[in-house]
Amino acid sequence: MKRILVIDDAATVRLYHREILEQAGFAVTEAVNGLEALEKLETGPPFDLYLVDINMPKLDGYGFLRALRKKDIPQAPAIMISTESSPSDRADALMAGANLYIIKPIKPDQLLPLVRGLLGEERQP
Amino acid sequence: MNPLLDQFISESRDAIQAIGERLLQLENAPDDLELMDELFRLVHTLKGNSGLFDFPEMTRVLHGAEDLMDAVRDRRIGYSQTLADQLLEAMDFVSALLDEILAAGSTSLPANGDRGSDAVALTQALRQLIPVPDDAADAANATDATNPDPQAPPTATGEETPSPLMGVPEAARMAAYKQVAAGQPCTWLRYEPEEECFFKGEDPFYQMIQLPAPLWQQVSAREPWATPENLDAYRCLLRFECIIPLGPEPLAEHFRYVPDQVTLLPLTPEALAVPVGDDDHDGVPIEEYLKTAMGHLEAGQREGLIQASRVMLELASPRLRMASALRWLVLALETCPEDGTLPRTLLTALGPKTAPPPAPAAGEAPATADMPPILRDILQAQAEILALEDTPPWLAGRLRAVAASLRAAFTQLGQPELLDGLDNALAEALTAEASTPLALWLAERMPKTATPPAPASQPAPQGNGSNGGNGNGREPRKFGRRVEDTYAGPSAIKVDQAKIDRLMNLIGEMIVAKNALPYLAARAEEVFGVRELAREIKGQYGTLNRIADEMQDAIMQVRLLPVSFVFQRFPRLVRDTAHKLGKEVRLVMEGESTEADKNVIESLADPLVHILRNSLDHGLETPEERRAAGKPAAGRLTISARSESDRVVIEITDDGRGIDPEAIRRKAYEKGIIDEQALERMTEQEALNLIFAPGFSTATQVSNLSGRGVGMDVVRTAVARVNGSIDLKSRPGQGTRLRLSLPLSMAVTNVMVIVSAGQRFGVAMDAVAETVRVAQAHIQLIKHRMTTVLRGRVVPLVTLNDLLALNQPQIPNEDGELAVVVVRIDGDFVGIIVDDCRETVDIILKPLAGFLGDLGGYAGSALLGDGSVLLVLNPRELL
Repeated sequence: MKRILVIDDAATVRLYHREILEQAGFAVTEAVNGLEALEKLETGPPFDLYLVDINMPKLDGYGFLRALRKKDIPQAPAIMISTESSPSDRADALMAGANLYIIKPIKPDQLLPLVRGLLGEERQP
Repeated sequence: MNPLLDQFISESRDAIQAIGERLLQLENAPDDLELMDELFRLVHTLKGNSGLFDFPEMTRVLHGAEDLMDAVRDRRIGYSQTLADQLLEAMDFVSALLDEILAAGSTSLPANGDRGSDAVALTQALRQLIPVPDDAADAANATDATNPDPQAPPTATGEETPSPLMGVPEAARMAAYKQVAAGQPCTWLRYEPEEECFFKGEDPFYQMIQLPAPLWQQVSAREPWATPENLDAYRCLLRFECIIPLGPEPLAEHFRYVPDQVTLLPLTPEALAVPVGDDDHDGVPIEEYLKTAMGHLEAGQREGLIQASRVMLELASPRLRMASALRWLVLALETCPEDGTLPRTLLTALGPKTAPPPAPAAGEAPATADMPPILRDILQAQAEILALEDTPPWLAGRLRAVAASLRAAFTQLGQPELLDGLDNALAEALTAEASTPLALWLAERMPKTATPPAPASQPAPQGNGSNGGNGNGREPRKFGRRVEDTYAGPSAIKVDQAKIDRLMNLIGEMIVAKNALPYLAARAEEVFGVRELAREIKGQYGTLNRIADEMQDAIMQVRLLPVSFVFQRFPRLVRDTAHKLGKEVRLVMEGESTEADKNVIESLADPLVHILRNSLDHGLETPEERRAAGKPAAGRLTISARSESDRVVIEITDDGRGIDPEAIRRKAYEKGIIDEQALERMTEQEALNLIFAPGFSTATQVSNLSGRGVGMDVVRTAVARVNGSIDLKSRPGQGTRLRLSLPLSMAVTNVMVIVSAGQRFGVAMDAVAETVRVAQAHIQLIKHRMTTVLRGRVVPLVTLNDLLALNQPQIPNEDGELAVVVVRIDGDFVGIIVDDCRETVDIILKPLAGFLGDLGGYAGSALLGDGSVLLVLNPRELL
């Protein structure tokens, strides 16, 4: 089963993503900020995909991605999720190491194809 | 209720609470940048969460609040009282909505017109605080146009924000272009009336036809129409779009009542002149033309350029984007001959794509016509990443992640054969520490449909030349913390209260069950004559007893909450109330970390609020009165908490005008609460205690704050319900002090067992002052009431059998003495004559249920160790 790490300081958002992803058959792990996410990487195997919020206390999404990409582990795709939509945010996200930049709120039928596309799952008929 | 909604409500409440606290902290430290950042993040999270549900009003207000906080954070405005007030009001609105959602238990709220208009008013008030950038008032609206409404579903990937003008036909845009070029301001307008607008007396159509004739207009539905049988004709789903030959200001004025439903975009020639059409050259020799055209442009040969362009137009199919660009070029040249900027932009757009990836020659690209847009978006984003020119320390990781994403996307595309060479390209890129090898690999496979759109519709995301240097050492901008920062989060878990209550009940039952062992030991010895076994049982009991006690203590610890749980809302309450009353108050809180059982703490909330309101309203004087009395203008209100053995003592002290016992006495007499005799005899303290009498209210006029028909008697009842007591001291002119004394925990009650008429009863030890034996000879009848003198104090006596209507006389002991339990009720002592007093026991008191619950004379019942039920008396009600 593919493992996805959801990083967001808002518990509601984490639960929302967890429900969507688990129903689609993915294993979801949560982290409340970038620092906790890095801790999860220290203590466990790397993930197959990362869903990263931008604004978080302790360590924000950019910081997390930069630290993630510096690590000597199998590098998996990351989706950065933002509520802001200025072009500079998008450029910053891609520069920091995101592979996709999307804006919330995101509906399940929009999120799942993206996740599948970045996980290389067989195309759904 | 669904768990997501549950989570949303609880997280929102926490956030609102925290917002209130931060605002109050900011009041003392208006320059604290960290506080502001935190405030912004709280509001931001709230808004983000609300977007997951369909609560348009909430999202609207929070969006306004977020924008305001963003301005504060960016130091565009400073913290101010008005700002705090406005934000608090917005949070109150959100809070009220949360209550409604909780009550409804679902995401669909009953329609409520007030809510909508409140939301609009609040949002407007919030936005008014945001300073408008220098340009013009319309800048704010223009920002709206580029920031899509958070409500609107994002595009497939949410990453493109195409100009709304792309939907306007070229001819209409050209007409507008001519107007704008001639100096007539034009504005693109989108008006999306809210769904319930018809119920608010709004008439969107009328609004629209009142406008000057548009250059172009279109009315569409915001979502697909329902089938006729399901269509709700009273739900407005219309979207009006038009181009009006007016500046944004008069339009904003026209739509001033629904500013949040309207998007205005002042039109510029550049925004209008966007070529659209199929992205193909159709074999037309464009390169030759471009060379000539650029030459003409540089040389200022307008006629030559027009001529060349017209020739090209003849050659190209009109549906091509190229043809569209040429038409614009001709129009621009004819309308504004001296302006070379727009023609240059258009020509550049026609030229070979400078943005990566280099488009492969037509025909070579794999046939991916059926490629899902999502995968195309993914590939395009990777291409964009590979086009970045920075070389940060994490470049290797970034490249490997891109490779992983490409592998996934092509796999999902069902074209794994295209992946050949990816590993080599990645290895090459890693060695070279550059993206180029991967970029080239991708360019060969990139479907041509995935070429980035024209620069005009997409702000160049690549950090090139001018700003490329900042990519390297770039630090996170707003909330950046470094990885090395220590993580100091609390290691607490949230547990549902019901689970703890269950634990508490279980331990209660266990304590009772454990108490059965001594009875069992006694029976073993006395009935069955096995002394050895009896001793062993007692030994086991000792062990069990110790563990059970510790366990009970541990569970009680879990239930303990600091009084700050209740205190934390007081600063806001006092601030708001004082504000309304025009008084100045300094609130001092002490001992907030004092702990007590959750139930006790919670039962305190309402009485304390009432007491505080009373103090503010009646106790403290206005600044003028205070100055006249020689006091500082700001009154002082102190709330303190401390532990005293197994009780919590909370004191509320003010330095206000105090209570005049004479006024109380007179008032009580007028209201018929006391008779003439009492009026004469009453001590000052007794007079003060009259304010706790039912139906008493000292305020001469009912104010809208404390005088809500409930008096201090309600406070006293609430405190008594948790076995607490209340005590009042006041000195006219100097202030008032209320002292609440409450048990630390309500879970275990220590009661004395008494016997009367052959039955056992319990009396809470809290109420028992002493137990004495009184010789019958020492009981005198005064005014037909039995009394005795104890330690120089006259104590009235009653028999328990009389109180409980048990038709039996109390039984004295062999010496002719009666057992008397002296109880204290509100400072008065009363002796209850019983047959005998026995031991004291710890019991778990359970309130009487069902129709027995109406029996006020009993506080509840408890199970004793031998399995019998003990009824516990409530002396206050009995007497």
